[in-house]
Amino acid sequence: MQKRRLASGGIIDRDEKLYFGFNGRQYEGYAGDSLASALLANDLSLIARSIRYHRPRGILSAGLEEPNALVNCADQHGVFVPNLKATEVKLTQGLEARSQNCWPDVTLDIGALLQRVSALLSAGFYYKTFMWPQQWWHRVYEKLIRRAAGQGRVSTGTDLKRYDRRNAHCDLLIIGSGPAGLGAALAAVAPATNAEISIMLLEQDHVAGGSTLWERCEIDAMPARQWREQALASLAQKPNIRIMCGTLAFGQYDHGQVRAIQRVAASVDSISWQIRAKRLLLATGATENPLVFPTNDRPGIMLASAVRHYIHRYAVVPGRRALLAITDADEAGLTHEALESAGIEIVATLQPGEHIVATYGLQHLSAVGVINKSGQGRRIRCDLLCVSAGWNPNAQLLAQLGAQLDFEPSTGSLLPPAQAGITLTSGACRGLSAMQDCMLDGRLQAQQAIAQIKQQTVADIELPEIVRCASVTSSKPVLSDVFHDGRGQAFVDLQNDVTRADLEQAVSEGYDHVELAKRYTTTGMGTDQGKTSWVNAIREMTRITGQESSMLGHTTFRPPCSPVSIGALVGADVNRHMAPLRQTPFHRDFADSACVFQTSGDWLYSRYFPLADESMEQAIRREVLAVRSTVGCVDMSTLGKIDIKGGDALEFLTRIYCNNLDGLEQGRLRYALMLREDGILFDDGTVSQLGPQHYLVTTTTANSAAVWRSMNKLAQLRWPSLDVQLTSVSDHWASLAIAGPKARALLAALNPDFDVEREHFPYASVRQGSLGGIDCRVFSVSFSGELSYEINVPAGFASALYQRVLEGGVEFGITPYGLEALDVLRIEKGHLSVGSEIDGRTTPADLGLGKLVSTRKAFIGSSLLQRPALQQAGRLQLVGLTATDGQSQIPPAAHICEQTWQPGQSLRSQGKMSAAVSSPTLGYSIALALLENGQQRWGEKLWAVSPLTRQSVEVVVGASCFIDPDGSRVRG
Amino acid sequence: MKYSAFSLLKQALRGHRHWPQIIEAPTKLRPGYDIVIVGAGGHGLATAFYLARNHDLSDVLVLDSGWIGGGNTARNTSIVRSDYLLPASFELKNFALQLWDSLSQELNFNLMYSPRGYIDLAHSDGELEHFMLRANAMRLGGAEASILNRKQITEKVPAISLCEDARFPVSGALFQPEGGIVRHDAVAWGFARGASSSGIHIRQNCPVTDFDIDSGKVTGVRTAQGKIKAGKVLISAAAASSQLAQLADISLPLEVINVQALVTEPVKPVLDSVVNYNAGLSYISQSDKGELVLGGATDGYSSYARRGSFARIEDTLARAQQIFPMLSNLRLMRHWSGTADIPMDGNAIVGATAVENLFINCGWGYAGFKATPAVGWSLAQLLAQNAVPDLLQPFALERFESGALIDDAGIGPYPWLH
Amino acid sequence: MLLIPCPNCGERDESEFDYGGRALAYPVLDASPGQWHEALHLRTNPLGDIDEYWYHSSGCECWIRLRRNLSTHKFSRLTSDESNT
Repeated sequence: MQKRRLASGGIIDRDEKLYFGFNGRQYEGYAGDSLASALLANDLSLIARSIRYHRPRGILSAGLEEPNALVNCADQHGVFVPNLKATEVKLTQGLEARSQNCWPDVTLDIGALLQRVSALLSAGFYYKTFMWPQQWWHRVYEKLIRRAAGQGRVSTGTDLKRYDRRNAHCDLLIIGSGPAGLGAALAAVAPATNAEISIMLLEQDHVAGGSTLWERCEIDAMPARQWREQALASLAQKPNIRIMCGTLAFGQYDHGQVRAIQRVAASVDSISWQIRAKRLLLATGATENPLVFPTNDRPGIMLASAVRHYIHRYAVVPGRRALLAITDADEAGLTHEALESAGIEIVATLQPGEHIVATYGLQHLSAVGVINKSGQGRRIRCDLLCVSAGWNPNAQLLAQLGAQLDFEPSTGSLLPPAQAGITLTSGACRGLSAMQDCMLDGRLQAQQAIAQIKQQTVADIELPEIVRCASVTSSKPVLSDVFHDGRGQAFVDLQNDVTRADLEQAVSEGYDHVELAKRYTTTGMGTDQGKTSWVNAIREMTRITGQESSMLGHTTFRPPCSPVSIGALVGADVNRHMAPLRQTPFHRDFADSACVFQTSGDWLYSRYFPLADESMEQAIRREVLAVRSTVGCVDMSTLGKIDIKGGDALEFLTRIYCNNLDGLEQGRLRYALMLREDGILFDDGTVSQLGPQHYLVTTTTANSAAVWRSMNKLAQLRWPSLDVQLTSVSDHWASLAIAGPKARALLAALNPDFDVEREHFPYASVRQGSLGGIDCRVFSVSFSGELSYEINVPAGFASALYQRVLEGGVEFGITPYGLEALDVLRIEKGHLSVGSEIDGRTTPADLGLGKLVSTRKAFIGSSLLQRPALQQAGRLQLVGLTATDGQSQIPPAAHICEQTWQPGQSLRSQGKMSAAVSSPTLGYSIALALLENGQQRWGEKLWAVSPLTRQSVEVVVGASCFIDPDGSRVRG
Repeated sequence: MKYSAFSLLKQALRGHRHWPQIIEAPTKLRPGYDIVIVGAGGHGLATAFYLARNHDLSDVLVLDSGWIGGGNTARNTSIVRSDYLLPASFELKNFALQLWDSLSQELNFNLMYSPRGYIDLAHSDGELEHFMLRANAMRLGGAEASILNRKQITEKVPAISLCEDARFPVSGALFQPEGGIVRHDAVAWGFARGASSSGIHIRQNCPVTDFDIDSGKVTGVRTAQGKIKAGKVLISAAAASSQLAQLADISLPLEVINVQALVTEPVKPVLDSVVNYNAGLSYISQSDKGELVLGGATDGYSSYARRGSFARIEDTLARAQQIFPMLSNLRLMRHWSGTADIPMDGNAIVGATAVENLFINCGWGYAGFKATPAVGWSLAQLLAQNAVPDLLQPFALERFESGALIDDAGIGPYPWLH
Repeated sequence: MLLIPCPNCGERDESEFDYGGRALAYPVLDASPGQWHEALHLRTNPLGDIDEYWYHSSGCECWIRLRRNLSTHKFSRLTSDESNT
């Protein structure tokens, strides 16, 4: 039983009943209803409570501008989404909706007691109190305020909805399908010469038509609804236009990009669109401004256009006895007709000079207090008050890009220009009101846009003078006449409960700039984005400050123009799909070897290879000892590899690396350092000479992309005359290092076609050939400090190589090891790691590599490396630390201090540890640290201090290399 | 008039019509001032306030081309913390935290400093070790800091999801209990009110068009409203710093980069801490109004447009949603941009310039808000005493020439990567 | 999201590019630290056009020089001489 539904009419399907729940009770509506129209049809007008004063609130509007009727709605999976406007929710079968911001329920809300102290809750009251005692703001007051603030409640349930993402390009993008939008679309597709022009039309409502759906006007001498049918039928024939309803274009971004969310009911719930258009035509209509008068917020007070909307589109009777307070005569006439057609009694129409001074009613409007020119008051009984203070264009998509809108005081509108950049406005979106005018304007603006797209001359296209809203020219009541001071709160921003008095107070306190007043009072900062409050706020500010409205300006319009679902924006980029994760060519084989992997940056690394029930620590220890005593293998594929060829390849490398590269021979390689332009160490790696004018360099994993980018920049931009060709071969080669005293024997067992004996394949060499038929490059380099060969094979042969290494290594006890063991090995050896020692602040000399820096050439960074602060004493320098007692564990992440630390004490740090480990090889704890003047302090005793663990361990400073300082092991 | 519950009650009874203005708008500017501060953001206003409070100097004028606190003070995400490894960065921001603690009472303006705890998530054991190094540095410097394990994280932040299968798993976190949020607009208003009540002049909508420089020494500023003599001039204008410095023929070692932030629709309390997650380069907190406030990485190229790519917003949301799946059930309400002035080592530039008596405070990038009171305090000291306070010493403009960089992130002279 | 006019590939989405910073007049490698400091560090940051580099990393892998307005993000054409410096 829908008490307030008309027997006929409306664009609803009376054959399809939809049952829905509101605050736990069941109701029925029809297909085609919005939640708001279905609620009204069931005579439900109290929908929510307001945020600050918990005042009863109903439905003000019929669109996205709704400030009052906020509800929680469950999606089809039962997960509640808060803060939905009842007016934007399409009614669906089984929909569950609940009122917000009330307890125990919306009719009997305890919070309403706050109305009693509303005088204290004035603008910015919280800035003036809650300061005593000092700690109470956070401990007490804030907790209370936070609980009172916030609108709905967010559900922590898993979002099971399905989302998709799409991209489109078009020539002309029309937003809005009212008279202007459809007029524009018709004009754009009409001439045969436009057949190549691709057009998209987006409509946020789930039905196309805009105001033609609910306004009884004529277009082209036929009823608007009929014109709409014809227009849509005609457009459906055209292949070059795509119309998408239920699609909210929420923001315009650089270079013609528009973002939109399409709500669909098919295989996915919504689609996030990214559209690039050459021209954008806004036919987004206008929003009606409510009137500001005392207690203008009761359920039953509704925008005049919304009243017509509910009657004509939904066949719903929003009241029985109506009072009209409409500033525009034409609109008053339309509303009159609508009310009469619905059998609603019109008890009065406010005349110029009459003021509303109060409204009455507990949970719904019951009467309105009015005084006339001569000051005589009367109380008019009514349950519906139709209000209008003029229209404001929906030009957010233009204003978001920074276009200033002109405030037109006579109509109370912020008017956009006819065009700014690629965006054109048309129809009600630029201040027109009559439907026929809007349609014609849409047509002309579309022609204009298409002419620009075709880059034709546009001189012959005449733009119409902007016809102002009818109220400008005719003798209509001046807006300010309708409102009047009286007792009770006159709300400017209904959602945030900001009153006229709040704005007056803000201005009187010196918050007299619109931005300051907005922020101080929170006007326009609610989920309705201030759609119904901003113009009224500007009008109030103009009145209060006495400034010209043009001087006041307006605040910045920020996207999205109406809130959009985060779930829909994120789409499928959830959990592991959020960002790509790379696996090395050995991944599958490692997985078969029970490897434990770890994500780090872009990569999934082999972390360690536990046997049976080994812990991570046990596995790492075993792996390290195997490398030190026999042989292990580790994946090095993530290192960057760049192939460099050309007559000037060596010159190129000489300019990039700080090392001396003279004397590098074919088949040999060097450890090399690369500085940033400002002289700070950037990356380390090896430079190998593969052939005449042919080199291969390696980079660290972390800097792989950056080094590649930088080398290209230098080759392409700085030294284009150098004969250099760069090829990234990082992904071409799989790289497995075999390391340990038995590495050479293992390499020999892999059937190389080259001599691996020490004298023929010494340390720091490279050999190209084959390993049992697999093409390979083998580099004798070592990160672990043991004899080691990095075997590179084409990535497709990774598995074959690994299996052969395992097979050939059986007799040596081959042990696959992971990044953890590699890190322990490199710390024992004192080798550097990006992010630990190479931290973007150190120079080669800081890390004990000063002797590698050539003084005989200029290279990237050589000039700024000479800056005094990079050369002076006192810099942090790399040292090794061991506990003085030879047995204490050096705490990780400790700082180096002169003394021990006591809780509560401030202590100067002289250095910080970059790595610490309990060395399986040495049997005691070692650490690397960056210590002030460290290289001059070997032998000094200091404290490794970790307040976190309350540990202070005495350490002795020494060399950063703990294993094999003379390098005999790496030479095997 | 002192703000209090009593004055609120008294004014409520009088219809709130008799509150004094927060700024005594000077009807006429004096022909000259001892000190002219260009930029009425948090930093400039704090400097003015402390000039009066700590040094008894009130012959001070603060100028702004727009409204007070209308630049990055209005656009930041209001987080305060001091979790820095490098001593220079830590000490200034930690001093600021000490000031934030009692600043509401000091200013008699509730700045809503909410020490709700700052949690920085580490995504690997290696990263956690770096966080421990930072936490130890903080403890040695006298600040509270601890390391949380996964269980402790979920206890503090029930809304978090630490899924093992996450793209960026969480191994632990750094926790600073004193970290939190401050109502950003109130900072500008509170300092402005405090400065104004000491007789300092604050003039809005008054752009500086030039400096008067006489044989290498600044003597005044030219404005849209006329010429004003000045003993000393401080440029404290964030994104406009380069434009202003250029008027004095100074090229600054910084670039302007767009930074974006966003809020969701307001909801009832669901997140009590400030949470940062490095893999997302993003952070999240819930404002007292109930909005979840998120920020992310910069747009990565030079810009004054205060407009960025929506792809950044989506990326920030995707990374945040991994940690807070509830975001999927919420709606994006508003997103906006600010222009960050980012120097060649990513850290601020504070101190003297080549022009005598012309001082600069810039380069705070996206990290200036948290330092506001400490910067004001120290700059007031610098301007009043002609000596560089220890806290500001490392931030001198000369460091780019000398090489004494303070590069917290170790990124180098590439501001768009900071 | 910028639409970046790559001279080789046409207008492409920002996501295909890495930013390369200002198109600086680099000194020679052995110029003095003072010269390097000025060139590498000091900026004017005009409200209008700057010349800058972009690296079309997910496209032609070319480093390109473009002129862009810092306030409006509008790209403008460079003469062939300018784009080769």
